[in-house]
Amino acid sequence: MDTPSLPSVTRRGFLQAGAVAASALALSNPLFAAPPVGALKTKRVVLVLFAGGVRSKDTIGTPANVPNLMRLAAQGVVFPNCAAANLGHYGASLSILTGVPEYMGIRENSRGFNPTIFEYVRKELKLPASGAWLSANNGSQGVNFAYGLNRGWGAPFGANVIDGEGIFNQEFREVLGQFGTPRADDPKAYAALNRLRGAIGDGVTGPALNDEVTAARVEKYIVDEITQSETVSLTGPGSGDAKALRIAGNILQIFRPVLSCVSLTNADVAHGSFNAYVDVIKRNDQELGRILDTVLGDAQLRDSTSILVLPEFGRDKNLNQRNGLDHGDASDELNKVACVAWGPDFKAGKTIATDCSTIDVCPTVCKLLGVESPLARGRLLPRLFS
Amino acid sequence: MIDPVSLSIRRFAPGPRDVIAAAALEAPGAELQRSLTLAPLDRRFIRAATVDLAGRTPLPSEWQAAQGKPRGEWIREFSSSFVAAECCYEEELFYFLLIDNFRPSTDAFAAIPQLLAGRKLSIREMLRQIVSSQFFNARNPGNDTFATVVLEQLLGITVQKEPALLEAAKRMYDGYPANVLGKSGSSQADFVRIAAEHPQSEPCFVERRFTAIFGDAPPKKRLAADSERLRNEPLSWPDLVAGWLGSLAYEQRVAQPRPKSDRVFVRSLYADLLGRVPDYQEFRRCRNALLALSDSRPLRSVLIKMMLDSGVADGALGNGATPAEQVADRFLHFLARPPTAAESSAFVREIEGGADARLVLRALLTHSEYQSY
Repeated sequence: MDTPSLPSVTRRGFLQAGAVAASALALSNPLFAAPPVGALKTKRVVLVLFAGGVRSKDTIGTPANVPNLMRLAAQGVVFPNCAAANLGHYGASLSILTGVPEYMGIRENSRGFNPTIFEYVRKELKLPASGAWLSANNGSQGVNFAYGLNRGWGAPFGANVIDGEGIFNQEFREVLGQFGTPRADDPKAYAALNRLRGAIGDGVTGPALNDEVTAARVEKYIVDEITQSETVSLTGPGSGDAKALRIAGNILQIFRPVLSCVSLTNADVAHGSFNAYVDVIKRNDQELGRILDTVLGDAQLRDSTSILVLPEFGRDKNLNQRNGLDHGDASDELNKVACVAWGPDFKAGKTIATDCSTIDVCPTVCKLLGVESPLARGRLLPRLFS
Repeated sequence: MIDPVSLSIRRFAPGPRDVIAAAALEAPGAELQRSLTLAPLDRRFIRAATVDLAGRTPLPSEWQAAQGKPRGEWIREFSSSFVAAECCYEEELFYFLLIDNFRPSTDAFAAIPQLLAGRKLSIREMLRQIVSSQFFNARNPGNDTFATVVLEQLLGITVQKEPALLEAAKRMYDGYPANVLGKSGSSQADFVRIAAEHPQSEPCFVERRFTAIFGDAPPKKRLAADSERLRNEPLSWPDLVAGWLGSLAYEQRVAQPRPKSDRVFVRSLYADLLGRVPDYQEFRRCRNALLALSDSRPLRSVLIKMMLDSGVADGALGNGATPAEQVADRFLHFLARPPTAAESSAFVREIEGGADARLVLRALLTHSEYQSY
């Protein structure tokens, strides 16, 4: 895989200096003290980028919109003063995943230069790709989140990305219409298939993200999703986000990844309609509730899973001429978001008003999972740990 | 005035290996004079060259047509064919991301492959038409996006390192007098014309096509020579490509399998299983779904299963009087090689144990070896 070098020595030096400074600050400031090593119960993290541009006043400020997010908040920690690192959707979401304020190019459809949270976790924990998933609703940009271009990490440590709206959609239904829905595999035939595949000699041309066994598992999952789940039938406004969340919940049950991330975008419908935006928030909260119920209903997941939810940035304070909400007025409603953290290692029912940043999520998640994030410039979320 | 020689030119993603050896690129292939057969070595060559020229594996009629022709003659003919021109055009549209809603839909654009194949349209003119189209304009709205994409994609210039050039281009796009790349203009049309006529256009195109075929960057001297030839002989593109595929370097490249892109995979699956090329909508639906995964291999396997389950691909299930002959036939057809003794006995054992022809085919097509060419 091609891995271009970082843009320049100056930029690299700047980033490294920032990381060192941030680390020094984290060590010296009791607000950002690290959790006790070895004492953490968290074994899995679900990170939800409740993104598309969502104001706190429309989520935790209006509990009726987000009853499930409020369930998490009631038993977890809310950071209402979390500063957005970037005000463009792609760069802002990527900033959360890298822990670095990202500047993205004009087309905003290329990989970043910093390692992502997936790479940190997979490399240090030596996880297969099935251990880190991203369920995205970002179109072609989604796969860019899988890994960055830094030579020290990169493609071998990338996430399995799936964009449900890209597969479980009307276009793919037309493929199904043309060829018919694939039949579920007879277990005997499936075993024979795997024996046959295993018998084919060494013709592999290079490393793949998933090994043969995992690829076969993912294949089976896609067939099951098409043939046996309700995901394909999710339609209407906000269905892309709903699918991303539904898929994340299914993947959590099937693959039990160490790190699951969901990236949402449909709230951006707000540009044209405030009401449609609220509907997206409500629908996403409903799907978030399904994930929470999945975790709570599974003995293995219940006491070992942490969930973090935050948007990439907020939206303008006032409605635009279309009765919608843009994102560009430099208001606090735009620049600050609410981050909700729930899990066995966190305080319960607390609101921490200390200033923090969306780039703090990456190092916090890494710390939870016991790995380092050396190029991330964020700090640990303050006073999070119990 | 900006000296073109001093521009920050972006290289097209060179691969992990060293650049292609210049001597091997200048040397003719060892097998050029020999007539093609359907033996494994020739199968592999025909398959690779067809993928590189047509963006897919050969159709049954193309396998047939290749037999008996001297390799060099077949390369020259295929490089000048309509399918090669069509693939070149489609790859350029994808390169400029003029796909889906931005795909050019006028008769003038539909005619481009035929004009290219008939040597009535040059590569330079094709690129100029693409970049000056309403579709490119819609895909790249606004002065900053438009100027950046033209400079980056048409000329390979790293605009972040040329801020003065970008600002001048944006001014010209906005209708103000400006000097871009040493030429004056005062409109978007002037900017497109100046960029399309710039001598960096040929090396940028030649380098990306060469890299697509060889998986690596061309030697600098060869890049300069081929670019100059394309500039001086604007209709010589098919001859230039034929020279690449007729080289010893290409024979060496064929010996090293490379992964099929999602686009190549979709077209090849239709060609191999259904004996035809997918229409654009079929191609688009499958391509877009595959692009939704960071590792598309599992979904590729699902597509294979769907086609096989549906029965539409039963014509590809194969021939052979005995299980061993069936296995040999299918290995040769889909993997361009005979099975090893161990592979043959394992497959025969499963067939005798009840594995049907579809399952055998599914195993071959979903294996990583079929995902390369």
